[in-house]
Amino acid sequence: MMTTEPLEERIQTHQAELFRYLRFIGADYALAEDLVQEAFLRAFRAKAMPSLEDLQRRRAWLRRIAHNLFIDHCRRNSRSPVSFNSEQAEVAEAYWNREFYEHDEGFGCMEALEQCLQTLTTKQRDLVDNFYVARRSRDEIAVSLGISSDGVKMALRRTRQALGACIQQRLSKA
Amino acid sequence: MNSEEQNDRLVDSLLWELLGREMPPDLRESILSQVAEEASSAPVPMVARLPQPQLASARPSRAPLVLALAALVTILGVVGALWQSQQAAAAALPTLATFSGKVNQPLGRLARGARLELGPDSKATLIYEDGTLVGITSGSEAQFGNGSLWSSRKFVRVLQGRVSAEVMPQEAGEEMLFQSEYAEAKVLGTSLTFENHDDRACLRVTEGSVRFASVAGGEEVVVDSGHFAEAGSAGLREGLLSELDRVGVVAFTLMNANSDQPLKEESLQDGEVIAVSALPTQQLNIRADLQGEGEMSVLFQVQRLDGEETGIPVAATHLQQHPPFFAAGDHWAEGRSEDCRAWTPARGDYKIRAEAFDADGKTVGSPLTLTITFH
Repeated sequence: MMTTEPLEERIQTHQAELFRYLRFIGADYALAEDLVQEAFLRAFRAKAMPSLEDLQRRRAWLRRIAHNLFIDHCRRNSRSPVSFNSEQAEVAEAYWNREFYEHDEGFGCMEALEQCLQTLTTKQRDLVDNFYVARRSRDEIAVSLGISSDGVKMALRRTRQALGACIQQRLSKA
Repeated sequence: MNSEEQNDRLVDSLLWELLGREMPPDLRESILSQVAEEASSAPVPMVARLPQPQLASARPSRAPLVLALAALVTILGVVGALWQSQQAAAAALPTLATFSGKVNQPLGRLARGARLELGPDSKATLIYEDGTLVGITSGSEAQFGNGSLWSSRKFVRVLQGRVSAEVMPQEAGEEMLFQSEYAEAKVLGTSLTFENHDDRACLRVTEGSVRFASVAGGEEVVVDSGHFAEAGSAGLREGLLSELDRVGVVAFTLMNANSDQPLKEESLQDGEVIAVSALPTQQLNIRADLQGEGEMSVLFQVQRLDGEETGIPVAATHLQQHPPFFAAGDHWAEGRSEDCRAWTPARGDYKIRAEAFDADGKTVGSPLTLTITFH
């Protein structure tokens, strides 16, 4: 069991990444918050833990605790926003490392996204602002744009695809 | 998750953080206080425990012990039953989470069998423990829970109006149940709307699938995403949501003018060729079928593509204000509005257009046009 002193340091170092990882694999904000806390408590109770010096191993270890907690949560609640098992978790982790974390611990992606948002058409930007900034539901947006709710869903997905491609392009040039 | 989904999810989470301001929270204080709490409630070392009392040397009777154990088992049984009933109630009963306007229940978990009534311009949202959401609109009334103390099945009886729901996956055999006097819908996990009208119940499914059964006829259908089903005095029917949601003139039906009944169940299709000689009668008409609320009137335009006369009386081409609406007119002026006028179309191609108007003269939906051939 580790003492509270290194634990605070570890929370400081890893909490944001764990939270983002849980959001990436499908946890909503409140659940990600709960699971990050639970993951650190598990870490606190653990008899052995990767040393402070081995950052990569510790990251992977904490992330594994977090995604096991997420899988347990999905099983317990018989619902899962994503179909997620251990095998897929490994694939997701690899993707997460490669596409997000390795780019300046994710900040590279954030910067690229900010730039890519400037490339959206007015229509796409309105859609994104309505959904993510104003937090309007798909049905509400559908009414205001005069399209179906499924149409909004598809348009959002296409916009995210375009943003994803733009982010990858910018990161590959960086 | 495939690569495309992973990319979508990653961008989605980044957008929530960047635009939705859902930044990672600082959880240090909260985690450390929980850690401190755990540490303080760790088991007390054995040495600190109170000394065990010495047993008396004389062997005591076992009867009081047996009685005490029996009492303990009974108490545990009662407590267990109460706990189980509470657990079932927690799963089966929703919490009234938000409302606006006039609602007859306070915020908080509803009692088993509670009725929720909404006044005009009101709406309410209920949430179950598993995240299942139920929305109720103004003028609606619904009852929650089925009276059993032990059942954890979610049960909603729609007494009046409309409820919509996003149902989280339910255990097999514990499907969420929506019921009215005409129909019941068993839901394993989906998005739906269940409406109770005076003459029917209507189910609309936007995600997943729902087993829908007519109470009267016992017929049952599985309604998939994007479809609806209705059960009532006219029987059970199902179809695409896009058809149900259309308003105004939605179809044309070929009529037997002798019996005033449709010549076939299906609506006329654009481009359809009708062999008049093969029909049981040549005394025909075409009915415009409408959908939507409120009184409507209909204006027909019937043309022969070769420019010849259609043989339809001029009166039938005026705005018709009384249903049913027939392209070749009816005998409404003689007090028989359901009696359609007989029309024997000459061979040729016809273009038929019908447009619906509301009481204020505004167009309802889009005009429906089709081209058919009589030969």
